[in-house]
Amino acid sequence: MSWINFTRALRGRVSPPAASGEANIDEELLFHFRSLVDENLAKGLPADAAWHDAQRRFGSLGRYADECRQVVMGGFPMLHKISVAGFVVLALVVAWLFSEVRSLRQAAAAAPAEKTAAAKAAKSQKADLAGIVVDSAGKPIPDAHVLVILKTWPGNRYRQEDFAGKTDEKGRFRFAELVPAKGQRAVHMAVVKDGYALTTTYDLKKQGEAMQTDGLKFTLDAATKVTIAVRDAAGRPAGKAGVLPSGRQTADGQDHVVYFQAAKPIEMVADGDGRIQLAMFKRGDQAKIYVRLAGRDWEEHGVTIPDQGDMVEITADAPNAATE
Amino acid sequence: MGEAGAKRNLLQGSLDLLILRTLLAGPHHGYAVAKHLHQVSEAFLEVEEGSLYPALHRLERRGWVESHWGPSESNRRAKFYRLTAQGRKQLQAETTAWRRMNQAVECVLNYRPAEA
Repeated sequence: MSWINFTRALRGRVSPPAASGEANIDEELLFHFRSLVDENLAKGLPADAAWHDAQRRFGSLGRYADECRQVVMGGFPMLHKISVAGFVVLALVVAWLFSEVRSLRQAAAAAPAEKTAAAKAAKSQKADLAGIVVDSAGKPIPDAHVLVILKTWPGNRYRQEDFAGKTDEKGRFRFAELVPAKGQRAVHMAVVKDGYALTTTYDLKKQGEAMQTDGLKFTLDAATKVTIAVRDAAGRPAGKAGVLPSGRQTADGQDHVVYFQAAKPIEMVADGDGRIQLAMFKRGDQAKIYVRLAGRDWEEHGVTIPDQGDMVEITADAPNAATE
Repeated sequence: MGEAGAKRNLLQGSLDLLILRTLLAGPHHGYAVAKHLHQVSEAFLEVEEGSLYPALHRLERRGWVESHWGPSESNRRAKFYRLTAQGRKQLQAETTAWRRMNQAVECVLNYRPAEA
């Protein structure tokens, strides 16, 4: 389970699911802490050492969260109690992570035969996720990206995994032994193919409810081809900018969302003039597109898709240069 | 005062300025701000997280920076801070004040009494 997944799961158990200022402070600090752990792992430190060194360098999560809350609340005394609760939550997070590292180490030390047997047993309880992708005339669409997010809650913990594949020449796709047959689970699927409007589905089933995982059918509408022109904050063409379609809201209000976690296979790069032709949305869609200038982070931008052949300009917010 | 103490005191007086200057180059999350300051100062500036995050929140409260959540370079959700127009003005004012102060201190340090 990833750190963020864990914190989301924890939040789901101890507080309302809506992201609050409290939870945001926790998540912000946890991101920093996790980055330090990653830094240590990248240096080759074992998990335990990476964790302990990050803890030593970072110091007190609870105290920092408390100080941030005091700033945000302007030191309002009645709200201070909430920050104490936040501290308790963070203490639980730290304790859980410590046990998580330990259990990971124990699992790694387990006998290979035991692991193989356990893996086989687990696999046998998983169903294939399979289906076909066709156009509006029923004709199969080969070579379409199929991006899957699988959400499960093993042992009351939240887990989110991503998978990717492509349709074959007959428009078929299959992810073998993927979806657990039991327990609460959710499957998000995004089908992306240039020339067709990106289409996504989401299916959540609780314990005991059946989920259709085979014989799925995606019918993709033809898309409107437009040119996306990416510029930097100074208005200059952003050559070789990264471009990533991340979602669309149709004219009748339907949302189609691509999870960033699963979107790596559909990243694209604009040409030297910062332009790229995209045919993944329909005219009138409210499209969400991530763009990334060289050396920068991804930024999400919303645009309305114009008529076929028209151009949409996106100005990345990253600055051009220091102004001193 | 040892070197560690000198570093700490330097930051306490200038952390807001350093953060604002870092964000002039674009949106950063807190971890990236700390890394940037460490690298650009050739490892002299060690920003304590206990100072950094309250400072970021204080700057946001004053309207000098604004924040949004987005995917980080490691694909995790992170909180990014970006300079506002008001923050740019504040940065200019603080940069000017800092340089004047620096010049003044240099004048004092370089002062040599006229020989009789």
